[in-house]
Amino acid sequence: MKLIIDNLSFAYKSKDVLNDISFRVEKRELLSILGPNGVGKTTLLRCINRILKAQKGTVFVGKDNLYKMSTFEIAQNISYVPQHSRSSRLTAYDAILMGRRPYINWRVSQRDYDIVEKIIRRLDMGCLALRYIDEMSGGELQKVSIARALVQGPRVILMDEPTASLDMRNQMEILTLIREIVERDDIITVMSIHDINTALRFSEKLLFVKDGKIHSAISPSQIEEKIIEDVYGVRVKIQEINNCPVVFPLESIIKEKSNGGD
Amino acid sequence: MNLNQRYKKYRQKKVSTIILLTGLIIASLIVSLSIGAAEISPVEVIKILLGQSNQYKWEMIVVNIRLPQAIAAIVAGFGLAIAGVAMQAILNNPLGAPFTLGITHAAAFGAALSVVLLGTGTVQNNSGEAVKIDNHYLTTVVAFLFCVAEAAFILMVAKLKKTSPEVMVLAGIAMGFLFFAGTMFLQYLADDIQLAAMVFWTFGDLSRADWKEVFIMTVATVPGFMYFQYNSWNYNVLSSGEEAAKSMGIRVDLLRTGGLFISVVLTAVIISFLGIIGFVGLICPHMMRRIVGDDHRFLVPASALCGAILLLLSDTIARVILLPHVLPVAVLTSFLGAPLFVYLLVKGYRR
Repeated sequence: MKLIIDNLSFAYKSKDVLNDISFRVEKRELLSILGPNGVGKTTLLRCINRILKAQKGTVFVGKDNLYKMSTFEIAQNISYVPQHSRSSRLTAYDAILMGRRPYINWRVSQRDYDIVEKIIRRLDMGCLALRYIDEMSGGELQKVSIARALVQGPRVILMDEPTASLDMRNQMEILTLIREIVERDDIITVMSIHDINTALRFSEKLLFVKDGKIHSAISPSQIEEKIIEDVYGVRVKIQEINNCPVVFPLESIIKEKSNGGD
Repeated sequence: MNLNQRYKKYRQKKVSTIILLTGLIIASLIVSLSIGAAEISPVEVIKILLGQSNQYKWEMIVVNIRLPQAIAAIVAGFGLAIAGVAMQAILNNPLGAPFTLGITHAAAFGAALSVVLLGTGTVQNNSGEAVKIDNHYLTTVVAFLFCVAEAAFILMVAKLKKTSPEVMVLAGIAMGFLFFAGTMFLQYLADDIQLAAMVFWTFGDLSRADWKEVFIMTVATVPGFMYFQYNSWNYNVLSSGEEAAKSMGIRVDLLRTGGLFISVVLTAVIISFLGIIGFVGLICPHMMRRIVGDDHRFLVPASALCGAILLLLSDTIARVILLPHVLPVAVLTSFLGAPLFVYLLVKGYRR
C-alpha cells in the first residue's frame, strides 16, 4: 500500500499556495514535510485529507481515490492530528472515543468501546483516561490527540507539527510513539515539522517545500548543506552525531534584493 | 475493574444527574401549581392531577389557569435552553444565545412594526390590569418572520466568509443594533397606546400562553430536541476544533448552518408567543457544564431540564412576589440571571 499525491495544486482566492505537488510514501515510512513558515506545509496536509479541496490533482491511498470518497470514508482512511486541539471539559476517554465518529451514527457499539480500550492500553494511558482534557498538559493532550487518530482505524495519519509546543522529554516520547505506529501498526505517517534535526533522525523521507513547489525529496543520508541554504536562506554546517546527521545553523544569508530594510 | 467498566460507571453518574433533574421538574411543577393567590396544598394538587379530587373550584384553578402556564414554562425553558446549548456549540463561543445573535431584537422590531403598520396595538387597559395586545397572533407571526429573516441574513453573510463562527456572531450583533435602532424609531413615531403595546410586548410573560400556544411550542421543541440530541456527538467533535472535526468526516458547514437555523426557529417560536425571555438560553448550559461537563450527549438534555426548572420556578416566584400584582417572568429571569452569570464567571471560567 502506498500514499500517492498526484499533481496537487491549491490556491486561496488568487494566491497560489501549492503548485503541482507530487510525491509518494511507501508502507512503513514516515515522511517529514519541511520548509519555511507560510510555505504551505499545513495547506498541503489539509489538501491530502480534503479538509481543503485542491483545485487540481488527486490523492490515492493504495488504489482508492480519496477525492472520490464521502467525508466519512476519507476519515476511515486518513486521520489528522492538528497542531493545537481545543480542549473542553471532556474526559480523555470521551475525546478518544470521538475518533469512532466516522463509524458511529446514533449508538456506540461494544466494538467501538473495545477499540478505544485497546488503544488506551497500547499507549499506556489508563491512568489518564478518566481525567478531563482541559486539565491536561500539552504532552498529555497531544497523546490524547494521537490516540484519537489511531482509534479512527486509519491507513494514513497526518500530523501538523506534532512536537511544536512540547518539552524535550515529551518530544522524544511522542516521536518514539510515532515511530512505533509507523513500524508496528503499518500506518503511513506524514508530518510537517520545523525541527530539521528531529526530521533527520526520525523519518525515512524528507520533503522540502519552497515557493509552493517541491524543492527536493530525499532520505536523511542525502542531506546537504546546499539544500538547507537554498530552502531556508541560512548557512549551515552538517555533522554526524551517533551516525545521524545534525544540522547546525551558522548565519542567515543576506540576499542582494532584501525586501525592505530595518 | 477494567477501563470500560470504570468509564461506564462514570457515565452512569451523568445519567443519574439527568434522572434527578427530571424528578426536580415534577417536584417544581407540583409546587408551582400549589402556590398562588389561592393556596392549594401539594397533596391536593397531586389528587387533582390524578383526577382524584372533589374540590371543583380548586380543580378549575389548577387545570385551567395554572397548568397551562406551568407547562408553557416547562416547554419554553426547555426549548430556549437547548437552543442556547446548540448556539454555543455551533459558534464555538460561550456567549452564543438568542440575544447575542440579535434574534430577540429582531422579534421586538417585528412586534413593534406590526403594532404600527398593521394596527395590532389597540390596548385595553382595564384598571391596572394587564395591557393586552389586540391581535395576538398577527403580532406573533410578524415577530417570528423577522427572526427567521434575521437568521437567514446572518447565514448569508456567513456563507460569504466560509461559515466562520466569528462572522456569525458579529453579523448577529450588527443586526441586533440595526433592529434596536429600528425599534427606537418606531417607538418615537408611535402614539401613547402603540408605545405601551410595543413595550409591553417585549416583557416576556408566560400568562400569554394557553393550550394552543403550548401545543405549537411543543411541536417546535420536540423535533428541535431530537435534532440537537442526534447531533450531540458532532458538537463534541466540533468542540475539539474545526480542522479536527473535518478530519473526522463531519461536514462542519452543514452542521453550523442547520443547527443555527433550527435553534433560531425554535427560539423564534417561543419568544414570538411569550415575548422576550432573556438569560435562560445563556445561563442554563453554563450551569450544567459545571455539573455534567461539556459532553453534549449529556449537556443537551441536562440544560433542557435545567431551563424548564429555572423558568418554572422563576414564573412561580414572579406570580407571587408582589401579590396582588403579577410580574412578567422575564423581569425575574434577568434579575436572577445576571448576578448568577457573573457568579459563574468569577467562580471558575476555564480557558
